[in-house]
Amino acid sequence: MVKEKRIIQLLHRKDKRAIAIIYDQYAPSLYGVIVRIVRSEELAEDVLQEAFIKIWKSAERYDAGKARLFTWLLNIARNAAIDATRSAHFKHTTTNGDGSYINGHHQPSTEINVNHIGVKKIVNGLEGKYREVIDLIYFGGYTQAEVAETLNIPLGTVKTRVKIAMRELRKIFCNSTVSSFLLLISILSQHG
Amino acid sequence: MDKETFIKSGLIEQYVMGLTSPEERAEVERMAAAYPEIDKRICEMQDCMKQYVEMHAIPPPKRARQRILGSIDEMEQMERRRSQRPSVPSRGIVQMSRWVVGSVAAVALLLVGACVYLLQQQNASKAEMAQLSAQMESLQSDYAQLRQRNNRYTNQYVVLKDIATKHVAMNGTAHAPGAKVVVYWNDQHSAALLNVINLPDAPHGHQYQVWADVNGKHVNMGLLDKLREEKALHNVSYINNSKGVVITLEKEGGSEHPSTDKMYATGEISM
Repeated sequence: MVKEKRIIQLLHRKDKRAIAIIYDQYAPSLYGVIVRIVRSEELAEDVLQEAFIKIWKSAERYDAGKARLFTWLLNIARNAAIDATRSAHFKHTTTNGDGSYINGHHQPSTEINVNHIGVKKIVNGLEGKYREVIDLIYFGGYTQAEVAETLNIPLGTVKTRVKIAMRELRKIFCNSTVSSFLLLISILSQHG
Repeated sequence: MDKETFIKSGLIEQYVMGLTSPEERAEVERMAAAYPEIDKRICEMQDCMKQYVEMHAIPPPKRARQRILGSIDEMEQMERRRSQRPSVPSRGIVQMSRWVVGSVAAVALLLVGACVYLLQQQNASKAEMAQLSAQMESLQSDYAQLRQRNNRYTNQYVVLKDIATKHVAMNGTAHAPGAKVVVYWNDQHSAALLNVINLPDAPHGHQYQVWADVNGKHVNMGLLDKLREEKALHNVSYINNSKGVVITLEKEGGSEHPSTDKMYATGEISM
């Protein structure tokens, strides 16, 4: 793991090593989000490429004071994926696609790829209705209004659930002992 | 907004999820800059989301790495090549735009010129038209006059060449012994023409008047037009059963009865 500070340094210098490091460190996370939003592996690869080109082109504009590097990268990837779903090409692809990423009524698959029972337990500790909202937004590419419409609940309720979900996640991940334990697991699972 | 209310509002969570409007984003960033606690909270939540997303990570296909990093390499090379001759395309555009501006200006100038020229032409045409129409009017009146004269001459000619036309020679009286006038008399055409060969000019305010002698009674045949050109024949009225013709000097405009004391010429019409 290369430290975030070091990556940012290279990125600001437009050193091409930065993009390789970012790829190795974050591409699976970004791809995980993209593939769930666009629901096609073929298209997801193109979107991932687009996202990395955007990352490279706007490298100088990244402001470490405003967002974590990962948050910035994720926003670029999510926006690229959402843009792709709104293009005409996407509609064509999904009507002919195998739909393997379509789960139930267009809800994204959010199956966790970490098999460690402890992690699952912890995340499952987040109540279903809160997870659902976060997952639809993060992995479904939904806006809050779209979530409200899909789940047939008021927009205010969606916003409240987002707030509660985030706080619960913070409790789960930022609780010092659980957090360090989880971090270790996630690192192990990525390199394993 | 105070710190506690802001934290409770849920805006931080919206911000971390990337759901805020640009105004809300600015507000959150302002609060984060003002309160380290808020900034810390944001960072923590971003880290939480990072972990949550990492739990859902899916490794992209192996070939993707080479393809994506390769495409960025390629893009960089193209950029470098472009930056080696950076001003060429832009100059091309500038030149082209100058060209376009130049052509547009030239066309505009040409159009303005054409408009001015056409306007001048139109004004000239209008003046010419006015002149021509005046000329035409004068020609028309000339023509009418000539036609009238021609009609008169034609009629006179018909009378003159008719074998039945009588020539009445009038001789001067004591007032004008040298006076000589010939009357052409035609009973068939009911026409009478007066050919003044010699007659003194009528004094100012006076005019010659012609009379027919019908059984000793004088009937008006008309006035001799003073303005008529010298050699022309005078058309006078034909009076039936005339025995002779008399010319008297009358006041201008003529009289109802002849001034017998001012007879200037007399002639008899032979049967």
